[in-house]
Amino acid sequence: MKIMPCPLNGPRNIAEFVCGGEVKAMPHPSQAGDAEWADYLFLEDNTLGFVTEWWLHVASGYWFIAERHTASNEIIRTYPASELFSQRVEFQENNE
Amino acid sequence: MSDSTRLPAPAGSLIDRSATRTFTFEGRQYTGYAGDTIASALLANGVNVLSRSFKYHRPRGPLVFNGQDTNCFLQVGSTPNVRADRAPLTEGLNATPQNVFGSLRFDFGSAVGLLAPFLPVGFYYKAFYKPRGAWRFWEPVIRRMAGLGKLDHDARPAYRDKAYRFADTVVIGAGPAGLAAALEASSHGASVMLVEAGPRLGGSLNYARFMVERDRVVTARDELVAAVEADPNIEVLTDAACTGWFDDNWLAVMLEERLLKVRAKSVVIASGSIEQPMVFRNNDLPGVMLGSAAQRLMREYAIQPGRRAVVATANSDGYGVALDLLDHGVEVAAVVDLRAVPPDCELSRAVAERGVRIITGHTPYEALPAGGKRGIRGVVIDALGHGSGLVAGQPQTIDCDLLCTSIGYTPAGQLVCHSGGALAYDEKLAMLTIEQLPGDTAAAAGSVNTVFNLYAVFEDGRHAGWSAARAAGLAVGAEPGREHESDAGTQNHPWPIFPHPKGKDFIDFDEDLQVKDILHAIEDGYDDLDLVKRYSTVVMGPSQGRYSALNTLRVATRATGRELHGARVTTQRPPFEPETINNLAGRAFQPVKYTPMHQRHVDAGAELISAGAWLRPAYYGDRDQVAAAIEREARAIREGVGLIDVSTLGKIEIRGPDAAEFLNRVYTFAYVKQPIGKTRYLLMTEASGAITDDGVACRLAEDHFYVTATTGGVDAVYRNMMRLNAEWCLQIDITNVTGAWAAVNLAGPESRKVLEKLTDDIDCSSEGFPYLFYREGHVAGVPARLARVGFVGELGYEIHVPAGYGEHLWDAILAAGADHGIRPVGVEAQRLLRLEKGHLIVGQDTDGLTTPHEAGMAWAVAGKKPFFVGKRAVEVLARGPLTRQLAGFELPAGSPVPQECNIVVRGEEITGRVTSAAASPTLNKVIGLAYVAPDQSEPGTTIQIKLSDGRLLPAKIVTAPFYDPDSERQAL
Amino acid sequence: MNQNTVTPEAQPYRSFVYRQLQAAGAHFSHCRQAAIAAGYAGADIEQARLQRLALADLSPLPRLGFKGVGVPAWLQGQGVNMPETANTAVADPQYGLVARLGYNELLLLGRDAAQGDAQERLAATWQAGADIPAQGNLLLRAHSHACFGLYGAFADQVLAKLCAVDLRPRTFAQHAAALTSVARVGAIIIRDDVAGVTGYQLLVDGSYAVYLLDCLSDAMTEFDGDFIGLDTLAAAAG
Repeated sequence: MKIMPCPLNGPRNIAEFVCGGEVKAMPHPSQAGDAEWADYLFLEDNTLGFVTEWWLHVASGYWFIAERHTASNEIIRTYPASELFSQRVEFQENNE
Repeated sequence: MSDSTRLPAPAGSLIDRSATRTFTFEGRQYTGYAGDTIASALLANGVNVLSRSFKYHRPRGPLVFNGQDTNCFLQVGSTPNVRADRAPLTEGLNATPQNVFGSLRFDFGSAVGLLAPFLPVGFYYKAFYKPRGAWRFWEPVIRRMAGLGKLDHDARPAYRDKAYRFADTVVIGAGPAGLAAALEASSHGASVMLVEAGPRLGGSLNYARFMVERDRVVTARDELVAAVEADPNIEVLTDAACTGWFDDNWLAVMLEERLLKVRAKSVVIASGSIEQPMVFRNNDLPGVMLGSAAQRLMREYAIQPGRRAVVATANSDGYGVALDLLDHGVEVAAVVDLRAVPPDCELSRAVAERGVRIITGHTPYEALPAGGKRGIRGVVIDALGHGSGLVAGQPQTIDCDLLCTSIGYTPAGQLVCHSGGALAYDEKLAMLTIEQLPGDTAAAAGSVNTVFNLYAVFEDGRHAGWSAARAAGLAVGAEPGREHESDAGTQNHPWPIFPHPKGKDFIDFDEDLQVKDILHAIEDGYDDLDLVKRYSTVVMGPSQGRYSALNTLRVATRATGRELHGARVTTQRPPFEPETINNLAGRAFQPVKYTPMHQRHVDAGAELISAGAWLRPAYYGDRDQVAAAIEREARAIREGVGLIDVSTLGKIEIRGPDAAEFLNRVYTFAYVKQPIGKTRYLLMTEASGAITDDGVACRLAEDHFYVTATTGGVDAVYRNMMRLNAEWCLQIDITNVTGAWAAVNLAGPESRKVLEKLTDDIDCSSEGFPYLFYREGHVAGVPARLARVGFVGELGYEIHVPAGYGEHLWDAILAAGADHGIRPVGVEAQRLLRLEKGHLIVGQDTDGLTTPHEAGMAWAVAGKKPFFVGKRAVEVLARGPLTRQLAGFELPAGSPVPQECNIVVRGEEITGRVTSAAASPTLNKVIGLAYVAPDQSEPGTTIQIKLSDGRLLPAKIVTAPFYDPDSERQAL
Repeated sequence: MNQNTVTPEAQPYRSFVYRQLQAAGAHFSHCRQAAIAAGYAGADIEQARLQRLALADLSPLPRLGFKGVGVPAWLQGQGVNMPETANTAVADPQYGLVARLGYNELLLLGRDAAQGDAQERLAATWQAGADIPAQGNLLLRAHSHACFGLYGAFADQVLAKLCAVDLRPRTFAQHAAALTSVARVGAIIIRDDVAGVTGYQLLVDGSYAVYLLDCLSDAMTEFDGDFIGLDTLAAAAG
């Protein structure tokens, strides 16, 4: 079984974790066009190479980020989500 | 058994001559010793044919005798495919041969051998698959002919739990390299697990000659083993087969009765090498065996493998075999050395000094069968011709009853390949070598690493132990040096394959495949090794190519005109050794959740149903009177008072300045202006706009919400909330408190009277505690959170108390309600009551695509909020026409109750499906919810429901709720 | 209090597994609002079990939790000893064992009624709401989680049949904590030796307590493990 190096709990069997999918930026929810929104919702890049993903350590409820190669399954780096997300996200009403 | 059949001590290192064991084989009784394997005991009793071959039913005897000899598969009791050269002999054991019709001596199946010319490679594909359907006729016939043992259909699996193990360094194989590696790693502070497949530490030190003065080998072995056994850092496992090497040094180790799942920081593979057979005519007869097999029989089991032997060799080990045979009283007629000019060595000089005839530049070309092919009477040798695999045509016959071959090795490197390593052919060494190890935490040592000189092997082991300790993160000193040569280049003959015009020159003993079968497969167009394998079944038998992959690689690669150097064998996959399925199954962990009141439900006669991991009471009463039980419970709530255990409800606490803003973002409704002390419905959609959960939000304070979620949905809801806020960074804390609170729904017109008896700090009046309000106080003397809810459509209270008080609360309410005829109410009645109220259940009345508009929940979507998860999709979908709508329907009393998922049809068209349906005793009709086409959703429309038996049932669309449409009762 | 008169069902708080303890012959003593298994066999027998392999139901002992940004600082301000690193614990004379799970979650494991009273005062201070962290929640850990103590020379081998984390005494130090999966159930494991005997406190969601006890009992059979009561633990701890 593969080991996932959890930034909080240390190396653990990957069975203790759940993958939350790739980190991807959400288009502006009211200003994006329908096509752009549909692309965001339904289409994946399916990258061959390193991707940045959300992972959850289930027992501690801890979400973090892992950079993983989609072919070799090598995990090169894991780190707290706060490295990518440290600013409060606001949703402004569309000005129209 | 007379001991005269055994060699005198010190031969027989594994047997205990003071303890005899009686056993049965083919109905006859025999005696062996403790420490014998089944096969060694049979051989000691003169039984030298242990099996019949797979296809031609030829007699087979011990060939490799290393615990993996597929010629030694027997049925023991109800267990088929027991490796008789590994399985210990136990008192009273009853073994029978496999793949035999009649008896081993007279196997009627061997008549198949006469048909051999008609059994070409790919025979099954060619003969039995045409005409279409023919295989169904032939399969049972062939399976019976080619069977490997019999399954006992009455056998019950034994209980085998599994265990995890942990080590800094795991060393696989306890031969000279493994022992040295384990000691070295331990000396640097590593916790070491030493895994040995056999019963005894020492590996080849236990049986191989290595040098003329073998006493020195024995001393070295004893010293190493003593040091390992005295080392508290080394855990020694014997009779332990490492069967798989997975990602990040995750190893499967199979013990007799347990699977170990081992995690190591580093791994030393010291699994040794496998001596390889020669290919010549009749090379499969009993009496032809590998030199190492003869050495094991003599040294470990005190068995003389023959009386007059010929040793065929192409390395110094063959001379060691000859010396061992001489030392154990076997006459050596000749040593036949394939090499024209063998290099001078200590062992060959010693053999020559003992007066043995040494014939160089020759090879065995054919073994001559003794009567019934149950042994050999001699061997035809020939001078090597010009070109690989060719003989000069100068045959001479040497009489013998034993032919030992020592022409080289292949690394036991299968495990290396499991997790990304690779083996490739090295033409200079004429052997497969480890081309790549599985990562930098792996090291190989000893003959698996193509190091053969014993002193070099010790050095290699030490070096591997050192690098494994370093890979495990331990401080190690300077790298150990090496002084000795590996001798890898002097082990293997490059082409020990001598096809015979008359065949029976076996390249794969498991599958009875001859050289020509490989060539025919290639002629048939399968010109890649992996295709040859699948077409001919070569290396697919029980030994998985241990004794055939190397020669197959040589033959197939050359026949296809490819480069041999760098060629790879077919993919190696786990398991490396057979695994007991029973051990793999082990103990199954199936978590089950109980509410604090669970035992009270059981005691009250509840029938239980699963809800995820939970067990919940479906109804209280006899299984043959379900409808009566449900009606009784439903009436209790409609007419009196009932108590439902709703502890399984998901519960989440959210506290912080942004708590209301957070709810606004993850649920569809609006929460910023929700008053403190009041509840509000929650509806959750995912980004695609589909409904995923619902619940109730109780506002405890400006910054504090207590939120419920569905039983099955709460874990996902909680995860999702945590994930979203990791991105949003709102100032809140989210905690899943599902397990911290027990909860009941006390419902029915009498419920207020019952609650009033149990609390003195909550005003239970309809003014003091109105519908949809939230209160805190004490119930039955314990702190409680209460909400006026309306799920079942009557006056009711959801009462939450800390879980440890749950049973106390349950008892107290039932006692207080006794005067009011209170009843415990199960899930079935609760579902009926909510259906009467037209409330949907997420996951039952919704599916993965249901939008709020389809479900008639648009009222719970606050369109003016700048954002909620799913908002954009809900809006896009709302712009288009609906494709279906959830609607209530009813049928007259006595109608059949449609099943969930019965379809709604309009002519040929399927317009929807039923999601819930029940016979309502209160309303005296059958009611339900169904998806229908939007134009069918008008009340008064008649729809056609297709029942499971195909009948069409007309149903009338009506407005939900079916019961108390103005919801006056729940607001009392 | 006379042990014979204390029964679990006479108390408002009930351990998730009190019936199983009764079936194993437990006698109970009083601890705040609960009955706790004081013993099963004689003191000598239970002492021998403790050395070899023993299981105690610690569920009725007081436990309290806090979670949220700012919680560690607030608790320190309340005089609670604070583990410096995530997933470790320290002893606190007033509140019991203080385990830091992750960065911002604290778990107080009381050993007796006095520590329970102290925890209750702490909870009341939180609930009064003055000067508490802006975000964060109070956790009713005595209710949400069952707690088992597993002790003895074979304790780590029992856990190795249920948990894939390396909990051997040589690698999982005294007062180390791990959030992981035990028998496929989320669990908190804290190394907590008693008088030199290797010990672990094992906490799981209370709804899984009966299931986990079944798994533990099964795994202990191989090593002849059995129940011990709180009296034996108290005597060993001195």
